[in-house]
Amino acid sequence: MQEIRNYTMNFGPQHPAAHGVLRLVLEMDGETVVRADPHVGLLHRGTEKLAESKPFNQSIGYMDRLDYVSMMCNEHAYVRAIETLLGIEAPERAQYIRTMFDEITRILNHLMWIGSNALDLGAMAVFLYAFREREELMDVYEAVSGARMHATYYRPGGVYRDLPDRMPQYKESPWHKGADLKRINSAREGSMLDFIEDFTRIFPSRVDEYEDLLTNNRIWKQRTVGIGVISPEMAKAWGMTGAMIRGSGVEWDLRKKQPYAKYAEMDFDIPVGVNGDCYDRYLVRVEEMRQSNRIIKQCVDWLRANPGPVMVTNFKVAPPSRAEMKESMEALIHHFKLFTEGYGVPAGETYCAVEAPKGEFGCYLVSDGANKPFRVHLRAPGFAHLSSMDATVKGHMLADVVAMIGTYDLVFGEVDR
Amino acid sequence: MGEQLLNELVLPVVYILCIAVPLILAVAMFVYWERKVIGWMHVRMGPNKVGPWGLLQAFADVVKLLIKEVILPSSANRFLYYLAPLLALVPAFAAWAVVPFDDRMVLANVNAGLLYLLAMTSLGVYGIILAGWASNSRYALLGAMRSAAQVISYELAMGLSLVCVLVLAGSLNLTDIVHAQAGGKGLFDWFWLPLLPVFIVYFISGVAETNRAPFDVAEGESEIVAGFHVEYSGSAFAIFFLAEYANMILVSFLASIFFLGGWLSPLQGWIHADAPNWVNWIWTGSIIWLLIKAFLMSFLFLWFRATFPRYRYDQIMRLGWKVFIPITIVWVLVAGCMKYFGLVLAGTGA
Amino acid sequence: MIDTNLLQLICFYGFAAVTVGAALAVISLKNSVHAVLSLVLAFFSTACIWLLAEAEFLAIALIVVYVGAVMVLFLFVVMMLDIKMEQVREGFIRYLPVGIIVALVMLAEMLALIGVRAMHAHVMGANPATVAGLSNTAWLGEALYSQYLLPFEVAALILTVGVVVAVALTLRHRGDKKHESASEQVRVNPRDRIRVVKMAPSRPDEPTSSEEPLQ
Repeated sequence: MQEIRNYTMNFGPQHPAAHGVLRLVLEMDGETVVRADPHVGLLHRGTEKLAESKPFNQSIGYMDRLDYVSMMCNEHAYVRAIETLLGIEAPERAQYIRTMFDEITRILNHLMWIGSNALDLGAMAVFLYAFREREELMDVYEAVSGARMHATYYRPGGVYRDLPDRMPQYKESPWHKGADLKRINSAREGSMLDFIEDFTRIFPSRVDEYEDLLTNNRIWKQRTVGIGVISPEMAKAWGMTGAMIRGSGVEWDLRKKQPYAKYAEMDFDIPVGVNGDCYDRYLVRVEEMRQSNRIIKQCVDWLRANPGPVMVTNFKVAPPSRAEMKESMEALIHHFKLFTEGYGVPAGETYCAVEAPKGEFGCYLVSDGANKPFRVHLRAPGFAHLSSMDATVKGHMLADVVAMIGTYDLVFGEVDR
Repeated sequence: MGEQLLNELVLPVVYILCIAVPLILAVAMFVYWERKVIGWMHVRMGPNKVGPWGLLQAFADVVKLLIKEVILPSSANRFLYYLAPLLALVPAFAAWAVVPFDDRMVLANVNAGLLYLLAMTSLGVYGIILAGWASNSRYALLGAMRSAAQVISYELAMGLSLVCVLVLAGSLNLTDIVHAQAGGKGLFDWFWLPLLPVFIVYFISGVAETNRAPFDVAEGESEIVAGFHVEYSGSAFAIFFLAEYANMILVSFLASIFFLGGWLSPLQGWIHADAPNWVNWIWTGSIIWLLIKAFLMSFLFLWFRATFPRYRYDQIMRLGWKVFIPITIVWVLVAGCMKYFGLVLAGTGA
Repeated sequence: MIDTNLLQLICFYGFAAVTVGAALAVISLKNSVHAVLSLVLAFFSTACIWLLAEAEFLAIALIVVYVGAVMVLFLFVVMMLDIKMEQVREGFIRYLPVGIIVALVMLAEMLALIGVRAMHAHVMGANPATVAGLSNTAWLGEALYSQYLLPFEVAALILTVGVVVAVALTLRHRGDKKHESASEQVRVNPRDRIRVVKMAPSRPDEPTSSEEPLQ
């Protein structure tokens, strides 16, 4: 008689549901997972070490590439840490712009999440619907910074430049022509704020579309309700943040508990779950999209009414305008110094965190007074979440592991850094 | 001698080709149609580059698959590895032998046609199991295991729902089953009405039996990558693909024959006009009606795939054993009563 | 002209040869999966022989039940356990004489049975189905559900009990396995699963509320 024994299975790093380069070593008893052992490090790029070898400003772009679906939120944490050490504060308009773009980023991230989570569980349509809206917000990113993803838009002391007065339009092509072209360009005729406002008007109905396909779908419920239950105590013990801890019913949101930028002025609510399973986290994130939409709307109204500077005028940290450089020797020197040597940051250390779409994204920054950081440590929410993988999926089935990976909203750029 | 040889050897081969070749072409066009439909449902365009409106896409894919290398994984069982795709294909095609397309249009009008169909669909699982085992891959083995359990379970629900059909029709012969649905009340004479729950169970079981979404755990893209055929490439993969789609079309045809009156017209008995043949078929019935019905049924496969999330393996088993089989068992009883008390009279019209 | 009877005879010998060959392969092949597949082939060609004898219902039932279901599970057991045939076949030569004797006895019994039956010419004579003017399947059905109803129902009952017992014997509840009830899952109302909390922002200079110490 042969002994019945478990067998191990390699889930990833090349796997359609591994969300990048996750490698899980699963010990299986038939279809049931006995032990899940996540392996990390396959996307390690040494961001923290790289940041130590460059002037402060030149590392902003690395932050985009950490969690590459919530780019500007990562920048925000890093830029805030520098600002705290420098003791400067961005102008009010820049803070509103940051708030707005943090929320646009949150929607971008949640759209990616809802699409890939649904795709992992077999529902293909949601993925493409979500990308339809993502495309519009990507255009906003591009219009404001020139890059669709890795924007490098936030800078210590404000943002790179003010919002543009016009949105780029679609050109005529075999796929967009005639009345169709006119229709899709109709929202792009005004300024960028008009475009965003138009988006906030239609976005809730788009969220309804995703919900139509999933929320009350029997199969979707069977795949998510009661799967991967995380109790509030467990969530705290594992250092979970963001939708993961809110899904378990803990009312915790850095935007409310430690407001930064202009969140204290915003009117928005925090959705929290009840049971802490995949379904609750799904509902929480969907509701977060609606709340983000509200915040964006408020920011648009304020930004429309209040023009002003978007960058500090301290030329030690912010470049002078091009026009000024043509005439002023001092401005030219400032520009040269800033883009070669950078600026020195007073010695000290700080930890600044933002409520990134995935949870608390923090930047621990130590400066010894030089023009480069002495040490940068980045707290990635995904890393803390992933570490609980074994505890949550043990006893579930293989298909639930996929549901769990989806609900963790893992992006390996930030987990491996 | 020569005439007999023609009748017994040449003609059957010609008939078989008359079914197999259109079937293969139908699979090619069905793949194109699937990609197009799912594309539209996903607010995208689907294939539109190869040929006008992308019509030749399927053929381009076939050529691509045929010229690719068939990779044999290390320490795979060579014989079974190459045998498995054929074992999947043969039953998928053999089942068509008893499918009646019109009153006289059937390759083999056998008495136990319905049983023969059950036998053929139950054989298809061998290809999947052997592919999974011979590939020497854990994903493939898991896929094979899931698929075998699933196919065997849903065969029961499928067989029991067909029992209801044969109770009402009083025959195992497919042509007789269609004739039993003829009558003067148009489409309300068909078996879908008295057997509505069973019709639904049958079609869903058919979806499960062919391993299609939302029951595609045997392939389970996001779980076990591609399941039993994860290691197959080139023409070996193409054969699995062909078998899967031939099975889908078969299930659509069978659902139309068993429950939707086959080639009968939905207007039967309502119009009694004398018209030339090319108009007449609209109310007297013809193969065109069967094709329309089968097309609509196969569209459901695509619709499911575009919208539904995937069931988990154990939930599929639960659905099969705890929901479908009890429903069909009860309905066998109901169908028996209907027959006994004469509520449904088979073939009153024809 | 090709004689139909001759054709049938040729087919019979062909299928019989395949059956015997496959049966021999079952006990002689090294690879256990190949052996199981040979058994499948043996069943299949037996079904073909039955078809020749116009026992179409039995033939197809053999394929549906044995080839389609029983052998699939059998194949699975063999695949999963990966039995080494060398160990199983260690006593092949030693037990061969016993096996041959048993086979001979069975052959003799069968011959005797058929021989005895052959005395009464009418038993092996006309096919009762053809006499009744029914197809083989219909005749079998009528015989089973009228003449042999009680034995048939008893057999069905025994099989049902067997199924229940098999499930009861092998079902094991593992403590560490998480289980969800599908009906409860489906009954969940999304509105009960989310609370939208209104929360006043705590100002940056204030310490954060102490009820959630998250350090």
